[in-house]
Amino acid sequence: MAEGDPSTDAASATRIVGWQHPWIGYLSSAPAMIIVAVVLAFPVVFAAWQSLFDLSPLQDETPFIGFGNYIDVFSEQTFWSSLGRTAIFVFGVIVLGLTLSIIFAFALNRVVSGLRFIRGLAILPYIVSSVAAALMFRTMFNNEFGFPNQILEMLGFGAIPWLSDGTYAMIVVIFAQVWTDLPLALLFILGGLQTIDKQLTEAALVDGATGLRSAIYISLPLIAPQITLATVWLSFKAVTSLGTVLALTGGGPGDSTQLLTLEMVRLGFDEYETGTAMALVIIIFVLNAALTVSYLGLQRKFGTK
Amino acid sequence: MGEVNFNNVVKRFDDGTVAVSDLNFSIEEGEFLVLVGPSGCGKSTSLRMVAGLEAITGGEITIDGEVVNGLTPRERDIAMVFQTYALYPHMTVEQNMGFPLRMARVDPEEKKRRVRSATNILGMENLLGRYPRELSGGQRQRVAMGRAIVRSPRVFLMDEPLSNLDAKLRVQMRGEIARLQRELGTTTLYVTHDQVEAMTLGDRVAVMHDGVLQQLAPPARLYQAPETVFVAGFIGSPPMNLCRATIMDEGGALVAKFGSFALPIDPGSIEKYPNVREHVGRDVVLGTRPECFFIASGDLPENKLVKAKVDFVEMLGAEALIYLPTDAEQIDGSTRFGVKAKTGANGGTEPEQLTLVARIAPKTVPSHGEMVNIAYEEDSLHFFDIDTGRALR
Amino acid sequence: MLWLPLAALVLWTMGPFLISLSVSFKQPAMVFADPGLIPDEPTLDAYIRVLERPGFQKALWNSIVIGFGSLFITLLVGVPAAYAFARFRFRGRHLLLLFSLLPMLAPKVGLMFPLFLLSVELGAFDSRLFLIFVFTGMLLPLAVWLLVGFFQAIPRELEEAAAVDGATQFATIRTVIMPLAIPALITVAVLAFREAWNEFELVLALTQTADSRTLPYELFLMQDATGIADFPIQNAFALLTIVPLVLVYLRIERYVAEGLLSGAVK
Ligand SMILES: Nc1ncnc2c1ncn2[C@@H]1O[C@H](COP(=O)(O)OP(=O)(O)OP(=O)(O)O)[C@@H](O)[C@H]1O
Ligand SMILES: [Mg+2]
Repeated sequence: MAEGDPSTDAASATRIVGWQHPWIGYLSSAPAMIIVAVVLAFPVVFAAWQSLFDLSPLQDETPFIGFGNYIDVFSEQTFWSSLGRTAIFVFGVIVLGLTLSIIFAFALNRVVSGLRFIRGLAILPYIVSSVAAALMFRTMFNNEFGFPNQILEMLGFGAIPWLSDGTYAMIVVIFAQVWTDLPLALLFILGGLQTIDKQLTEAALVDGATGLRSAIYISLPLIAPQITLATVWLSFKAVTSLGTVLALTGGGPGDSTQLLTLEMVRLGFDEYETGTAMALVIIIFVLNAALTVSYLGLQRKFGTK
Repeated sequence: MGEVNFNNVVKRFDDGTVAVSDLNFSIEEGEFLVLVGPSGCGKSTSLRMVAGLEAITGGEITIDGEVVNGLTPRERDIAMVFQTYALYPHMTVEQNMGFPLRMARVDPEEKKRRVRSATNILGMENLLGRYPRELSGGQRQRVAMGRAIVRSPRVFLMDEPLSNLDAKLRVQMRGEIARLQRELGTTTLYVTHDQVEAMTLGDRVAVMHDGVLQQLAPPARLYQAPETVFVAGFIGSPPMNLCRATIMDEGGALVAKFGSFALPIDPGSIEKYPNVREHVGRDVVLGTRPECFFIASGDLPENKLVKAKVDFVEMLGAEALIYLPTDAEQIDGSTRFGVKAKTGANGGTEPEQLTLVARIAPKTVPSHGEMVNIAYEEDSLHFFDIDTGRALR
Repeated sequence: MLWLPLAALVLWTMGPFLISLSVSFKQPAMVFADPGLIPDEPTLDAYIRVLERPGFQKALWNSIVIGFGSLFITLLVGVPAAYAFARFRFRGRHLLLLFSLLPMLAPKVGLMFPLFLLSVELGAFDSRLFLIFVFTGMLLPLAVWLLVGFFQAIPRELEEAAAVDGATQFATIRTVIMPLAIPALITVAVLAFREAWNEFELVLALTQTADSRTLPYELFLMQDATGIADFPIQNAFALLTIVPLVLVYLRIERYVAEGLLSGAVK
């Protein structure tokens, strides 16, 4: 697009004569830009900058130490173990979240009457805060009166120590996380399904494909972009999840659900290791970006055009 | 009240497109002036410059002698009907029509009275409480008209107001617009690409092409005496046959030779295009109207006849069109003389051969492959300069 | 076959709600003694105790002040920005728009610590005003993004018609654009308010006392404060924070669905 010289650009600020001062544009967007810059952009830059200094509050000097904080982080065993737990957590959330959202979306897509009502229900968890959701899951998975255990006992199995065993606690945390973040993933995929031309699936039916096969071979490849979007969303939320885990297990039992984000809070707010905490912030950013890029790459490689 | 003047008006967009170049004309008080031309010729742009929706790059537009270039639409006291009607979806018909009055802070009683009287004129008293989405296309059109007339502006501007209606409704609304404008006597600038609308509505019609005004004249004159090859080819349906011809002097009588054909130039035609005499021995553009041809009966002299073979026939009921291939070079008024032609946009293409179209009475229709003798009415030949495209007057 | 996944969906979604609801209507001691879904002796005791807690009342008030405060400023600042991006042409507008949307991708956990330091630096730690400011920044990208799309969808002719009809620039915005924008504004407002109402991480980082913390943080703290887990009161608290949003959500479906613009063009 040719921008022309400033005077003609100004003349067409909008096409209406008299609505043509370019500074109106700058002036109306400036407050929003400034607030966003201070609240969202500045902290990222600030964190990146601060992560290069030794910022323990116990000392007077704050020397520049380059990647020293990163080296510190990487040499800590706790970092690697919490990174490993985060990997398990994120993987679990994506697998469970995608499975459920695809199944539920296909079901919702087939329902004609009453669709609004069930879809409305499906979106409800979206409006629950992470803390409230964690609390509800704590109640539900209580070892003594929780429903899963009641059912297990009714069926003659033993009760499971959901929240006092490390492995089971991770499973409960994954469930709680998926529960809160499923609605949007579900909507993405449902939206994709609704754009599929009915004639395609009908043609598949005529060609002898059953509902399930047509879903797998026709519909799924067509909604690859939406599945990718859902993956990005679930992954983003899982990598940066804090409230759910903090309120549900607090990282425990032991440190079995101590994720990177909880580690960052511990370093920064409990141990006052400002520089290392900042380094961890940046590491979480980079991890997020790297994951997102790789999902998009996967889609480009395997998805349909 | 309501005289509009275009003085050397130019519009150039940011991307360099020159939509209007050096426009000069005036719309008289109370006149219904139609701006017509092919798509993209700059009609809407011209209209929008009068409205103040588009800044004027060069020259000036005046309304009642006042230069309006820098005025906002609000300060110009004009009303406009949009192609899409642009009714406010959140307002009822009454609120839509009252909107200009509300903006002018007319008091509510007076506003109500004027909206009612506009509704009466347009015959839609029972629609006042409806929202635009509850109206048919024709009703929306009427509301848009109503919104324009309530304020009694100095000038009405209309940009293809009928193009979203079906054919029958379009004819009906065309009549209504004409009646309304006659009754109100408000100066009107009306844009359309439909020549029938232009001819039936306009007191005068301005034909534009590539941002340049070709001719401004009453409809009849536009048809009878086109100023340029473009106008000749644009007005009339089917359009005028236009081809390269050579003027010959054959023993004191002038003849137009085109390809292997020839037509005698009668004194009446020379009177209309006196400059033809200066072009003896030179090439010109010859224009013939399909409806001026007729199948010759036996008593015409040989030299007044065109003998040609019928390629095909279209029977239209009240008339028939016959297509006669010739070996004369066809001239296309819209590409040969436009701005784009001068910049070489059309350079290098093979000249096409003219297929002469004749509109004849349906009684004596020849059939495919038949040789026919057709003749041409006197006083009705048209001649244009082959280089400039202007009439040889 | 269809009913199986649908039943699973309903169970999956509603299960936690129902169990929570059930527990909230029991006496603390009865939670273990009467584990059934329908309480034997339903009681509002837990709700009364929540409502009587000073901590809840303060947090509720803070949530309301901070939620509506940040929502108000978000719209006040976001609407002109979105309108400018959608309609005005000014140098660098694409870049500026990108710059105001991109931070949407910055995870909040990453912002906690830098913003905490900033608040200490500014002497704004534990202040509701600063929270309002921070929430506004957090909501703006979403609001601007949705509103730009909406403003672009309003036909330009409507504004041109208003101009020709004698409306000033300001009157056009007031009488034509804003009324048409109401459904979009409500949608944006509800989505944004949900963000603010549920925000936990930033409240955790930026507040310390009951004077400024909001409901999610109060709920989080109550788990420890109640000593031996008082499940009914916790669940009653959780449900009470959810109810206002549920009520609002049920109301806006209408707006989103309504194709108000259907009669605007053709
Ligand atoms: N905003 C713009 N920027 C650049 N070029 C434009 C702009 N608006 C119109 N044009 C160009 O100006 C020329 C005239 O446009 P205009 O809309 O006046 O045509 P028109 O005669 O009304 O055609 P139509 O019958 O199709 O409505 C066209 O070539 C068009 O592409
Ligand atoms: Mg036009």
